[in-house]
Amino acid sequence: MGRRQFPGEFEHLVLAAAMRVEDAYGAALMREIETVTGRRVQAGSLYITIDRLEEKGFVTTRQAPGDAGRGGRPRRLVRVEPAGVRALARHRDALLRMWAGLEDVLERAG
Amino acid sequence: MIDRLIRFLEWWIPEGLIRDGLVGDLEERRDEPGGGRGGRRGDWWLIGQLAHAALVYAPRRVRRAGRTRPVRRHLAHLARDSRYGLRTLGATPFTSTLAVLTLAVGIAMTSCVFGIAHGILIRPLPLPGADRLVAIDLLAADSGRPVEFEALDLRDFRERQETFVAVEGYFRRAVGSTGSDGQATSLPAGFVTAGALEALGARPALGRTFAAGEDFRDDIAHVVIGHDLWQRRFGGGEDVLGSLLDVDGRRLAVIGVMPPGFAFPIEEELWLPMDFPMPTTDRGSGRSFAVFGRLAGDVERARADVDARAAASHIGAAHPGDHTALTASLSALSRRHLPAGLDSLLYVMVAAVVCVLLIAAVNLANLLLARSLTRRRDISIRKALGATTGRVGQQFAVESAIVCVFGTALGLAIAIAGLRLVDRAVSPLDLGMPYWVDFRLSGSAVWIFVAVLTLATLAAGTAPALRVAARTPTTGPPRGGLGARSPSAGVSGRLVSVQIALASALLICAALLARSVVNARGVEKGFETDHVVAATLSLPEDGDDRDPSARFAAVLDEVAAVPGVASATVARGAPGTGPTFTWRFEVRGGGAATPLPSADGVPIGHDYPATMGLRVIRGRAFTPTESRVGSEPALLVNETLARRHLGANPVGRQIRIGEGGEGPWLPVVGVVADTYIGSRTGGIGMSTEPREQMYISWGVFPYRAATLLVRTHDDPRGVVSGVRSALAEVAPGVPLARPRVLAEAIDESTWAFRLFGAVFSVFGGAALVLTVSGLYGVLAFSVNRRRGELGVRMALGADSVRIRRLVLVHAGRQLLFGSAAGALLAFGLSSAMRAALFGVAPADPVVYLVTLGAVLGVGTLAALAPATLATRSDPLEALRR
Repeated sequence: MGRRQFPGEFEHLVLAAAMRVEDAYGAALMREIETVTGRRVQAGSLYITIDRLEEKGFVTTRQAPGDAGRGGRPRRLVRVEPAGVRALARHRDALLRMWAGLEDVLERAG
Repeated sequence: MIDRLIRFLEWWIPEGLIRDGLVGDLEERRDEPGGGRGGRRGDWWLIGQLAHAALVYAPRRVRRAGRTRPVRRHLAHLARDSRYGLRTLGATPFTSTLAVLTLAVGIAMTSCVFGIAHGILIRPLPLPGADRLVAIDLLAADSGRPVEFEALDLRDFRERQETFVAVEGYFRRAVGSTGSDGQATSLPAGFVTAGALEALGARPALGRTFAAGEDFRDDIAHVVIGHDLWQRRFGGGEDVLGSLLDVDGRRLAVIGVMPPGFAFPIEEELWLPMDFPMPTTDRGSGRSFAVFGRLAGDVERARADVDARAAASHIGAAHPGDHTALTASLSALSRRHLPAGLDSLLYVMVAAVVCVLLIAAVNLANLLLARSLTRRRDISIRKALGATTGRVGQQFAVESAIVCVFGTALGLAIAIAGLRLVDRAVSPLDLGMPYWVDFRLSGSAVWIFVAVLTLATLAAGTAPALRVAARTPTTGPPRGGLGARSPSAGVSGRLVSVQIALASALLICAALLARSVVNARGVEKGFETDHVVAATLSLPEDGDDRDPSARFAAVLDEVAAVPGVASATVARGAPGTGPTFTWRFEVRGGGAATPLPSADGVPIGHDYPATMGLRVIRGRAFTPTESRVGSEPALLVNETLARRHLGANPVGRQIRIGEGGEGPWLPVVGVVADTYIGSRTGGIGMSTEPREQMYISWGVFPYRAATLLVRTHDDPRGVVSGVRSALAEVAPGVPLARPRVLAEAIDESTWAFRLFGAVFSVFGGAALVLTVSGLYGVLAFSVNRRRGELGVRMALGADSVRIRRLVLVHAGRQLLFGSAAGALLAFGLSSAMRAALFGVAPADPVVYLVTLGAVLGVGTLAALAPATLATRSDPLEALRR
């Protein structure tokens, strides 16, 4: 399994967020990640991550019409492809195996 | 303006869906609470986000630009020029290395010194709105002497002033605190008015600071602690608020924790409200403190000056009996706690380093000038083959740029290492430097130096080549020519004289400082300190109703019984232990001199002469009863005071301390040897002139804080733990603060000579090396260029002695002129750093003559090699060229 196939931490967040929200475009993804994880998201980081995920074949993007709130600019909608879902699942498996037996410690530290 | 910035940032993001989508998203979130939060803030949020995106996408944009034709051609040229440049630089390794080193030394030294100067003089206090904070001092209107600020003065000043939003006071005192382990430790504490911390702009990390009305009372109940103390004593727990902390026997509740890095004013670990009541009527209560103010929003300094003076004069007017007329002076709060004299020394250091920078720049210019002139042939061949002037210029610019890159990298590395060295050398010393002073590179200043030197390098390396290229016809390589001199050779010669002047001046300063270090080391102290331990004791206000002198007497009895202790005493302001008092005094029957003479005053216990090894020359030392409050007061004076003011029979004369003409007459019971007392500021500078000194018996003033001095039979460090347990026995809860060997403490007080001496020696040495190499380079170059002329002279019958003399005279003129100018410059510099000189005059002729002699000698040596080279000119070969 090549290193390319494994999403990095932020890629992982973006993938998950794109699966969670209905209309997965930039601003919605930023809001989702910010409210769930509590950390600030830079638009530039988000977009270049989406580009990278697209190169890996994990997501596809398409244009959707924008409204007045965004000066009529189009939205970049993200759809997670089956390969992306699989990568996310593998990532989750690896982490769960790593965490086995640590739940107590992690629970207390959190 | 903002629109243009936004468009510029957008340009870096790939156009199409990515740019439109991203900008749309940002537009959408500009007013959201979780996003840009609207308005002005929203604009800046948007710009920040766009700048980040531009940065993230920039590499892509650059990659794409690299694929277009003209850019690619440029890049190819640049790559080729760099390769060729590296090769030509490698072909003359000596000159190239010299150029890189010169640049590196220039950058390193200037950055280091500006790092030091910036850390001390320029960097503002690390507090919000620090530029609005000013120190307020009261002065006597007639003499300009400082007058102490007391609680009632503060109250009156606050009422009268109109330009400050807050006027607050503080003083420092070490307090004792017993932890849960029963160990008493000494902590540096700041006593503040209730609003002081808030007026500084310091927000607590936890809890609150003091509320109005918590200050100026006996029964203070609260304490604010610093981050370190919080971590150390309370383990950094959030539940610290409300916990009790023992301070001098009082149990105070912690109400706030200050953020890490806050230790106002010097190195404080905790803050308490002013713990004494506001006096009701009379002044002169002895409780005084430092005062600062925060200027109101739009008030200019000049207006605040006028306002403060008016408010201060009113204090005097309302109570004419208490005070002479008062005025006030405002100054930067950040300067208040720096040792006196330090700023002028730093300015001298900055001037010195600018000299080094100039020398380095001149050297670099000379080197590169010479290089490009010797490459005339190269340039004309390139032009003959079709190169444009621009391409030739680019080649030379690239070569200079390579020198810059290597020089800058090396220089910054040296600077960082050097500053770390200075920081490490200075920080363990107990200099009493404020907490915010540290020595590191100051970003903006460094970039200015790098930019200046880079521009100078590029100009010196490229401009001559451009001139040559523009003039060279494309017909073929020119001949060497017989021309004795070109205008640029004359420029180089004059530049060398300037260099010699600057280097001589620096070396003279270095030599003066070296003399000072030697003098300071050999000074006759008048007492013996190798076997004396000094520590600070302060008695808490813990309800023990014996008078402080009785408690000290009990402590001294116990300490004297510790094995290894020969004797023990108390004192205030003894050498090496802190600032000394200065008292004005009046001699009975001596006539009223105006102004009254002054003397350094040291209150001492009766065992002081025995403990310090101070010789009693006439009369007697104090008796044990004279160390107790309520006894007959008595005085010891030193020989200088006795000789200057007391005539033939000093013992038995009477002296009154102070100007009021009211105090009691104190009898002189003995005369002691003159001693060196160090400086009154506790920092830089000492005086070699013997000063009037007097020692007053400890019983006269009921001090609560004292320096404990202990003389030991052998190793002084060995007794510290014994003294500590003796102290715990007789005075539990009183910490033994900062015990150290007195000899070491005094040594540290000479840090300024050593630091500045080292800095100047490095500067002077570097300046000399740079200058000598510059002199050599310029002479060798001019001999090389004059080969034709010299060859003709030899063909016409000049012998080698004549030829050598010709070159040496040329160099000698530059050397003489340069060193004479250097002597003048050195006199200016050394007068400014008088504060750091010890036992040597700024115009000491020996130092000047020896240094200038060395410069002339080394300079002549540097000129000998090119002169010998000149005698080898072969007339035939010279004419053939």
